[in-house]
Amino acid sequence: MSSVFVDSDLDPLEPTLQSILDQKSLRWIFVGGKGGVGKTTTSCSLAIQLAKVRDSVLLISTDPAHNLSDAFNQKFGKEARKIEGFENLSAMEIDPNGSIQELIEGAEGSQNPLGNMMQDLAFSIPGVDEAMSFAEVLKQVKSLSYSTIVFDTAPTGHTLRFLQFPAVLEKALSKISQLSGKFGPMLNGILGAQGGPGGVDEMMQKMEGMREVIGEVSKQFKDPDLTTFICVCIPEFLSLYETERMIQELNNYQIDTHSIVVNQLLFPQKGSTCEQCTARRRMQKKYLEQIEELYEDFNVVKCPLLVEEVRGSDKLRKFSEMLVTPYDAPAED
Amino acid sequence: MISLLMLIIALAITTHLVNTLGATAIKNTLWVIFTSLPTNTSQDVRNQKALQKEVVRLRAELRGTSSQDEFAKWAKIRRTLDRKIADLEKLTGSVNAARTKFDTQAGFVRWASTSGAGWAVSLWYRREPIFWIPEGWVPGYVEWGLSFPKAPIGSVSIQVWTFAVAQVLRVVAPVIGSLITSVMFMRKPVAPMPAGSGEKVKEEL
Repeated sequence: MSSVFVDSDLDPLEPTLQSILDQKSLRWIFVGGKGGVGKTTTSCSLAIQLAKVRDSVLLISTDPAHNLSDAFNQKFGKEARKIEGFENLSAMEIDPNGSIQELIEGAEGSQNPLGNMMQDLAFSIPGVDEAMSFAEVLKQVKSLSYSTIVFDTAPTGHTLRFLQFPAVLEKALSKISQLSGKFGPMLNGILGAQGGPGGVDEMMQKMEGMREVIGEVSKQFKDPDLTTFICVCIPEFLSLYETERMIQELNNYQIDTHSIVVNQLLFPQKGSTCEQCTARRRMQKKYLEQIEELYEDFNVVKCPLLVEEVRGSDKLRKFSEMLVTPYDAPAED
Repeated sequence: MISLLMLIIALAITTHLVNTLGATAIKNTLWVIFTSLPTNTSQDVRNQKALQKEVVRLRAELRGTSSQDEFAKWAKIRRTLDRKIADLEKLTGSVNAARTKFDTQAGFVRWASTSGAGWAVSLWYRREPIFWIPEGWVPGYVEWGLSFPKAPIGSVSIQVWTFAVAQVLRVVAPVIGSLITSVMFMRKPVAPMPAGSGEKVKEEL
C-alpha cells in the first residue's frame, strides 16, 4: 500500500520531468503542493515544455487566488484563451466553488421544498463540490480537443479529496435514487399541486447524472496511463512533511505520482560571504539528502532559487528548461 | 424413577451454577479455549496480538525518531505504522465478527444444555410420575395440585418436582456458597508479617 506507483520502463534516478513529456498517453497532469512553493511557476513551465511535444496543451488554474494571469502578464478567464507567444498553449482560470454555488442558488430559486432538501443532502457529502467542479471542467474540456491538460491546483491539499469517497458517494446517491423510486410517485402526488417545475423525477435524474459523472471522473483520474500528479515542495521541514502526507494520500486515492520538484534551492557562489545563505544551504542539503533517501523511486527535479521573480513568457521559458535538463549547480566551497 | 428424579436435580444444579458463575465469564473462558485450538480464528487472534505489539513498538520508535533530523527514517516508520494500523483494524474487525458469532453459538449451547434441556425433559416426561405419595397423606385437591398438569393423581409430576428443586436450591445454594468461600478464606490466611519486617523496609528505603 505504501509502495508508490512507478512505471517500470523509466529510469528512476533521472532528475527531470522528461518521463512525463515522453508518456504520450498522459491526459491529466496535476501540480500540487503547499502555498508559496512555486506551484504556478512549475505548472506554467511544465505546460510550456509539454507544448513543445504535444499538439495542444491547456493550463487550468483551480486556485481561487488566480496566479496564471500574473505569471504570464495576461488576463485569463473562464474561457480557454491562447497564451501570447505560444502556438498551441492555452490557459483558463476557474473558480472551483463557482459551479456548485450556481447549482445551489438555482435550487433556492425554485419553490420545491423537497428538491431543496435533496440538494442540501447531496451537497453536504464531503468532496462533492470539488467533484462537481472537476466534472464541470471535464465537460468543458471534452468539447475542446486538447491532448494534455495541466492543472494548477489550489493549495488546500484536499483538491482530490472526493476520490476517496466514490464508494460512499455512490452508495449515498443510489440510496437516494432508490428512495425516490419507491416514494417518488407518492411525493409527486402530494407535492404535485405546488411542486411546479423540477419535480422529484427531474431531481433524481440530476442526481443520477451527477453520480455517473463522479464515477467517470474518478475512473479517469485513477488510471496511471491518463493521470499523474507532480508534487512541488521546498527543502524545508514543513513542506517536506506536507509532501509526504500528500503522497500517502494520493496513494490511498490510487492516483499515480512519481515526480517531485524541489524548488528554491540555494547555491551560494564559491567564496560567498553571505552567512545566511551558507547556513540555509546547509539546512537545505540536509533535507535534500532525506528526500533522496525517502523518494528513491521518484523523479526528483531540483530547481534553484533565482534572484528574480519568474514572470512573463520569456522567463518562464527559460525556467522551464530546468525541468528537462538538470540545473548545473555552481561549484561550492 | 430415581434416575429421572436425580436428573432433574442435576439439571437444576447445573443451571444454577451457570447462572451464578455468570454467562459472561463462561463465554470468556470458552472463547479462550476456542482460540487456543488450531483454527483460523485463533490464528487471527494471535496475529492481532502480534500486530498490536508491533504497533506499540512502532509508535515508540516514531516518538524516538526526530522528524526534523531524520525525516526519511521517520517517514518510513510512519508509513509502516500506518500500514500496520490499517491491517490491525481489518483484523480486529474480522476477529470481532468471529467473536460475535461464537458468542451467539456458545449462548445457544449454554441455553440448550441448561434451561432448554430442562424444558425438553419436563415436556417429554410430563405424564410420568416422579414418585408416589402414600394415599391419604394430603387431601385430594392437594394431590391434584401435586400431579399438575398431566401426571397421574396421587403422584408428584415432573413440573412440580422441578419447581420444588429450584426453590430449595435458591435457599440452600447461597448458604453452601458462603460456606465454601469462608472455608477457602480460612485455608488461605493472610501471610503474617515476619517479625521486624517493618525495620527491613525502612532499611531498604
